[in-house]
Amino acid sequence: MNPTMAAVKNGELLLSKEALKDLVRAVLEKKVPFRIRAKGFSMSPVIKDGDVIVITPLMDDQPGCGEVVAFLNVPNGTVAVHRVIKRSAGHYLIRGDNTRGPAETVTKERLLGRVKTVERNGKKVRFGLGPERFFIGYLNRKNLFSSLVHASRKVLLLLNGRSHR
Amino acid sequence: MIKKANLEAVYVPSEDVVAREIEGEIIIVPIVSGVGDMEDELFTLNETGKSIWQKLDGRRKLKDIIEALSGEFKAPLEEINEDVVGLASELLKRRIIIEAPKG
Repeated sequence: MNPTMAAVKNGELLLSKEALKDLVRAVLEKKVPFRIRAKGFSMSPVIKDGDVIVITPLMDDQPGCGEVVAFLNVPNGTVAVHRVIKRSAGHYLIRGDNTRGPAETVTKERLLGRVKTVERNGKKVRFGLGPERFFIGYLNRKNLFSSLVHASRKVLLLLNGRSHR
Repeated sequence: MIKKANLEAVYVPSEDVVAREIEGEIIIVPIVSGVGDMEDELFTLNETGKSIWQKLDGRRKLKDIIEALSGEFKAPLEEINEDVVGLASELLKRRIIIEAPKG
């Protein structure tokens, strides 16, 4: 028969996006938080590629404007993490902080959980998840947040360049 | 001390794990301190491990599972017995399965 059990450590398990989605759903359905490594840049600088995030399951309360949520991305069947920028009855307008394209309308059935914690290099990152989330949500809704971040980066690069002259 | 699985016992997956069949394998996520952690240790069971896992349903004794598997796999009964007890012991050691409550 040769049944084997293998232990896989530190996120070494290579799963397809579809499989990862199933696993995230299974854990959240058990009403426990799920700690997972984020990939991609759509939520930068709040969540950067390689950050570890904790997704907490949604109980009866629904996420409000400015909160960062994990949701089922229908076109490709993956789990995505973006920010709620507007809420109406049963629908959420959602967009990544670093995305300039149109916002997406998501039904509450597609919401999986909210992101409560971000860890970067072993340290907790609080920016973007505290009270300032409302303001970021507002700026994102006006399509201003990503522009502001890009402008800030350019200024920082410029200042950094001058200080090295 | 490593606890060896008992042929007369009935086992069931622990409440502290989430297990899903994904792409032909069973993937087990332990819930540690109330969190399912992809960055911590996960476990996978291969195809034959899956056949055993699916029978650990809290109803059948381990010896009955071995008997059922002897009809599915063309292997000597002693070998099946050894494999099942071996895997069940490993799962028990890691608290992935527990003895089912009696009654």
